[in-house]
Amino acid sequence: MPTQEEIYAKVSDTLVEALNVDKDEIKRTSTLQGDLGAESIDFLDIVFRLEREFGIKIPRGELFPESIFQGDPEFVENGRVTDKGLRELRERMPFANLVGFEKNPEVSHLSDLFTVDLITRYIEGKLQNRN
Amino acid sequence: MRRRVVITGMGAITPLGHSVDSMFNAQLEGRSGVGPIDRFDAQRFPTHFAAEVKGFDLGRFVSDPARWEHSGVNSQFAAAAARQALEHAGLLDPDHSPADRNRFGVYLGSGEGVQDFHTLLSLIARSYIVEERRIDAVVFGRGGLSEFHPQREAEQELHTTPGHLAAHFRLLGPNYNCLTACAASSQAIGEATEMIRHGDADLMLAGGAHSMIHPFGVTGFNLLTALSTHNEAPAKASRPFDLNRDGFVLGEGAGMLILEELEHAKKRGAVIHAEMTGYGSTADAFRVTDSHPDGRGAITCIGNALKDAGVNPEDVGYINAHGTSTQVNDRVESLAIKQVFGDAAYKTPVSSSKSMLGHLIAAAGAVELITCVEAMRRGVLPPTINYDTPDPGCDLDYVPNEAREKRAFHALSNSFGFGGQNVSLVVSRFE
Amino acid sequence: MAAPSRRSVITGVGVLSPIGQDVGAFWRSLQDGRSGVHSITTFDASALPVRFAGEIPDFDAKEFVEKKDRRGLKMMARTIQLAVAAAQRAMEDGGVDKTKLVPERFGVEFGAGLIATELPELADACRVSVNCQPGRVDLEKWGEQGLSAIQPLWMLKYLPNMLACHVSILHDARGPNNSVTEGDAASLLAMGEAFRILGRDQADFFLVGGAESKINPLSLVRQCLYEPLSRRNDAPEKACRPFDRNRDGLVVGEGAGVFVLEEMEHAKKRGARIYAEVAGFGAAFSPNLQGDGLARAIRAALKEAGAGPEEVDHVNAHGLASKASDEWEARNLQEVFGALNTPILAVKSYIGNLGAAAGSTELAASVLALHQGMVPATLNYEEPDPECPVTVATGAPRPTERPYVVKVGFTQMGQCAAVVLRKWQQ
Repeated sequence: MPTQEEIYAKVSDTLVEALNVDKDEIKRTSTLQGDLGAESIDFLDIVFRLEREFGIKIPRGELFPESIFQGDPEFVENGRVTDKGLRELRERMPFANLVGFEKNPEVSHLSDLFTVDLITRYIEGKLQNRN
Repeated sequence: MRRRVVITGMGAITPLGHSVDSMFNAQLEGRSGVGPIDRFDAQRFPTHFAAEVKGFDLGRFVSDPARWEHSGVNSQFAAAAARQALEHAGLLDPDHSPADRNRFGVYLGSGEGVQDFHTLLSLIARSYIVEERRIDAVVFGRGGLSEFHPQREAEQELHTTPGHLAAHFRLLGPNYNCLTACAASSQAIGEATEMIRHGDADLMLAGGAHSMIHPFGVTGFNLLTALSTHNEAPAKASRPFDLNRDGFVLGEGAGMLILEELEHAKKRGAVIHAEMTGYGSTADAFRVTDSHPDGRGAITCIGNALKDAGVNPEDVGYINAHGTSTQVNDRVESLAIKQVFGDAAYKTPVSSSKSMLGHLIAAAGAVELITCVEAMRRGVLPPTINYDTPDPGCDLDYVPNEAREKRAFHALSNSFGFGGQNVSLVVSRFE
Repeated sequence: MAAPSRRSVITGVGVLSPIGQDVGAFWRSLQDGRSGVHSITTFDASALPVRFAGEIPDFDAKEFVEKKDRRGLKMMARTIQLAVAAAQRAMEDGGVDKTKLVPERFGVEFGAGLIATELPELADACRVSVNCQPGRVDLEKWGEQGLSAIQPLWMLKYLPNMLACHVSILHDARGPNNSVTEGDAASLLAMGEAFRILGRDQADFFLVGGAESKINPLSLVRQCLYEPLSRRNDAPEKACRPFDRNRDGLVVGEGAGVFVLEEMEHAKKRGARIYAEVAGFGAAFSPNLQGDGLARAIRAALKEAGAGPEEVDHVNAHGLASKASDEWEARNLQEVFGALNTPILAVKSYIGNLGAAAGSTELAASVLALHQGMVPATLNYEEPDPECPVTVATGAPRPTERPYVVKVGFTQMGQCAAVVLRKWQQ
């Protein structure tokens, strides 16, 4: 089982290739869309590369859930995620750190959850479960 | 005074029938053309359903089907739909037709042919040097030369479909094909209209044909996770504007129109079905697959088409939406309509033929424009089926689940392609 | 056919070609009579009957794209990268300040062709999907295991509309955007359409042209199967011989030719250097190299330009160098130009056939010729062919004498296009 540092290093390498950014642009807190310029199809590419890099299977929608709040109109109200929506979010993304988001749960801020740190924690959990 | 362009013939090959009438009637009944894929064994693909054209026989439409022996189904669909349109316009026979064939062109938005999947893939496997992760070009070259069928390979080229139509039907004016993804045949119709307006031709055969229901096509869209995965209920899968939509459904087919300069049509006593009045073409210039979140390109595009037609939003009686049934498209398209139409947006019926036909990709726009013409002609609008749960982000009148009687004088048809090309067309009742 | 009241001029040229990766190098090679056709170096072509082509050596797309935009390169096949590179060069050559353009009035139009998949991208998926039946793939295995071994963005790399798409994104061009897919006639047809759009006041500024690369194992095998290719493996530079009696077929080349085409007042207002004016355009169809389609296209274009055949300095020919194609072309040219002996320039003799990029890249030679006042000669024209009654200019470059140039292009199926250029005079 690699250490969290080792996982982070490999995740960074993967992002360097997928997004054509320099390694020193990547920090744990970097957001994929805002800071590193990813668009939605890059998420598919990142998942593909992570699977190869770590030899794991990432089911569709597990790491980067698409349209989380689809299926129940009560998840979102006036552009803000409701308590019910937050519960759903916690369930779908147990590996995400929601503390900051919960303070101001604007739907438009959702993409800020997807950080380099989030991927690292997700992979760590994945590798732990495998062992 | 610019030259006016009218529609004097139409033809269609679709998952809902092999003629304009059968296709439109099925839409009025709210029938779905979607089912499990029959053409090849797709059982183990993440999505294994589509809207296929069934029971198609080219020999029923053209005198020498042998010309298309090695062509993909896209080209065959094109030939059949073109024959219908020419016959409908009374222009089929070049020797007894009151038209100068040198002034009669072709503009298609037609897709690529179908690759020889099995031969190519087994050849790649044989040529692969796994340890070095590269292809042995000598093994591949030798195998390819002996195993590929030359004509079948040649027929995949993108200019063959309009070339065959021009040669077979003797249409010797300007000949174009554009392939702007899902906007292609709309763009073809728009540019063909402009060619007649400018005087480059008096008549144009315009439309599109496409099939991506083959292993490569279904692979490509599955990988992009663009398709609906409702494998358990294919007929319910295409649900534009419904809250629970989850992607588009592949369709296939062809739609063809005869566009004609007004005075030319009058002089030969042609039946005029509608007038082509507006065309707009823009690019999002934003991202490869994401639409601009504010619908920037779509807004300008719809606005340009209405301006070209000289039609105010409140006079548009029907919108045939791009309505793919993906989360983003349907929301952004609704937003764009509201931006351009203002208060009139809520009073204008909008429906998506893709709920029934699936997405005919390059051919979608042509078939949907034909749908607009029929809706105006017959005074009844086709519905959006599978509309069960409203989405707060899509709050227009989508003609849910049942056809509606309404006389429309102007109709708008939208097509937005992968890559950000937007096309809007306006057709009007001919007065 | 009324001439448009709005005139269109060429103010920027971007060329990526086997004889130069910028306009200067391209022009020098044309002046010096240097061919770009050589043995294939990018892969081992020894199994093929044709082992030479017009390649672009050492092309690296990264040099043409700003660092922040390089993320997009992974989604671009070589054809698309060539398009993006040539568009960038055209903008630089035109001295365009992008921030001063109105995005909604900025159009993009490309001629494009079928783009072949890069074989290694599918190799892992193929390997897990073969079964014991020769020539067949197990579709169940392909669906189950094969798909997950393919890069998810695979298909986007090969869509023919992605040339114009990426160029529009990189330059914030939000106006009309089209991809014309008409084989060897594609980029001339695209030019004609952009010219029309400018004329009817739906844009002021265009990046227009074409790009294509078919020098890879799959594309070249396919062309060996259905194109009449020259087999002159022992002398690649001598292989492409348009209108020469001993021509034995066409030569495959790769590249891109892109122009800044803009409305005349717009160009003047920004103080642009004007190379030439696009004065006329015509298109027609002539089934399978029979009939007079090419002559009709030329006449329509000349008529629109208000020019007679006697005012034409040279014809920039399609000159494919196959037996049948050159004969038919020569007869159509004779129909228009009769006994005028208008000199012929066939740029394919230098670079081979660039397919969807052929028309625009070849046209670049005449745009530069009108601007410089010198026309390059055609290579490898040694023995006239009585079946090709045309006057091919050979030897050293000669000064231009008349104000118009006719450029033609067509496909073997019959799609024909003609563009007329007018020399720019203040």
